[in-house]
Amino acid sequence: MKIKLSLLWICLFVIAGFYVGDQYDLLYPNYFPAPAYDFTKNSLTKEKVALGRALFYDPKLSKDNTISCASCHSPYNGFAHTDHDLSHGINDQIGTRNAPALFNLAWQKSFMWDGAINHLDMQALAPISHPKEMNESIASIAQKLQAEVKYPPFFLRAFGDRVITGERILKALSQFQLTLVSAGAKYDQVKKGTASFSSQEANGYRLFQANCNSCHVEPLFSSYAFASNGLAIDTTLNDFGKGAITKKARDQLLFKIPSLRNLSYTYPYMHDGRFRKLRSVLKHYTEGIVPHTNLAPRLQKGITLSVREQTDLIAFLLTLNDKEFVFNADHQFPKSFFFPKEGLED
Amino acid sequence: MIQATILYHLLLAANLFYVAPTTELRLEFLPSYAQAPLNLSEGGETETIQIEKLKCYLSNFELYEGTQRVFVETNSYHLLDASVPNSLSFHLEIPSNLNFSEMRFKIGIDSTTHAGGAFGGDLDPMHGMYWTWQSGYINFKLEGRATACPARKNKFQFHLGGYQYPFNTLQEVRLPVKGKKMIAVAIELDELLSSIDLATDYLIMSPNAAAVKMAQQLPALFSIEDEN
Repeated sequence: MKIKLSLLWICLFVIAGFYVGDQYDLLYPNYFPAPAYDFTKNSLTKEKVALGRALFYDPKLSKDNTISCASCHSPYNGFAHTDHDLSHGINDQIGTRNAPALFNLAWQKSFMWDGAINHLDMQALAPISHPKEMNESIASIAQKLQAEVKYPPFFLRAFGDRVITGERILKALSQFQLTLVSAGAKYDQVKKGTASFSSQEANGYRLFQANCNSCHVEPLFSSYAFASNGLAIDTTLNDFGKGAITKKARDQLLFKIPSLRNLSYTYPYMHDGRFRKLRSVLKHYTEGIVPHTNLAPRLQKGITLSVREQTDLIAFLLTLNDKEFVFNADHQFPKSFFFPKEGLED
Repeated sequence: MIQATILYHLLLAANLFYVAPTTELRLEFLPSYAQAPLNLSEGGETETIQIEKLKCYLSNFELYEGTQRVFVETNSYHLLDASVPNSLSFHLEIPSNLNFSEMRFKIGIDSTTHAGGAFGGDLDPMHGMYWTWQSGYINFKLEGRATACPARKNKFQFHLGGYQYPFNTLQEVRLPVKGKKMIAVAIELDELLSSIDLATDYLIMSPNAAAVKMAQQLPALFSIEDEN
């Protein structure tokens, strides 16, 4: 009996040792490709996702505790910075690029408009450290959070002890962002057979496949590769995109191809937010291409769309708006973490 | 029967905990400058060159007997920081009675690890050895002041990194070793600093040709100091 009891204890200890929290199942449609993110090195748990969500909304991640990730990546805008061509960070400083929307990040291999970041885990370091964004260091954040009452127990639940490290902060932030899956637009309902396109949307879909799908590949609506789309250089920014990072001629003026999902929530468009309306974007692709040796092959052939066709194309693009995603309460500000007493009686 | 099953599982479990006998091979790294152990500057000194910071990653430690690789350290990443004495010595856990005549290691972090996301321990980006605006570890960091240097406060800053062609800065060091218990490795900065004209070259902060050129000089700074 004694032997059995101690065995039981050994088993419990072993199980406790391997306990890493409640598994979080990432749901996505069967017509999505396999994710690029290696989940074996950072397997999702509900505790880590919840911790990442708290960190995402916490302005303590900035030097003066004023700017959070959500300051420029708002859930109600598909995690973009709607109505801002360039985003503003700490001390009202303006950056040089449009804050991109955040969703379907598990399917992306490199990050930022210029691909400077090679892994989702490391992406947060860029805005955290940028003097015009959050102007903070990951080491200082770890110190600040360690001194807080509410974070060490949260790290204990997520990682098994109260120690706060850069690795843990970054992995938790990744976990939350990996759960931002946009797959509930009308397009998805059509794919799943629960809705159908109007004849105008169907015609727009045909035009999309003929003209746009080479870069904005469905079902993610981006290949997440880099391309030059014939924008004139804005001489107030002189942004050469990927070329400035790799210093290679063939990468000059290449920017990451953004997804077309959630378009209505994420204006203005392009890496510098120069177009406020979808009409202006289509005008650029049909009339405004500036020739360049690196221009995307499909654009070198030229795109011709009548006004009627452009209207139909836009009707289709609007079926990529994913209300279910944009208003998903699970992705929003975690009120109960930041204001646990609100709504409770004294 | 139940007892037999329990015993069987216990033995199986015990097997999991069995480790071959090992011994510690102690490694000590001894940075020096101007024929003396490196003393990091606290400011206010009058020497023409003062070193304020020396940090570098050493990784992928291997032992060879002739051309035969006889030992590979797993999870082999070590951040050396001249301001943290403890970081300058560590040990390899090697099989007892291992014969070896050469030690090899890399200065810097390999490309696979570079693309592997967030890691902890010495690889945690908290240590200030990871670039934030562009992914990549800083393989080697040397900072200080020189009267000849025209930068603000006469500062020179060399942050050598880059893991992708054509700016891959990872370097290999091969040292013949005799010691079985302790190996002391000198890191002499004189040759490096005397080869640089600090009046013109005082700043490297990104993966580029200058970083590669300086990184290629690093293996020669390492030599066997003393062993037993």
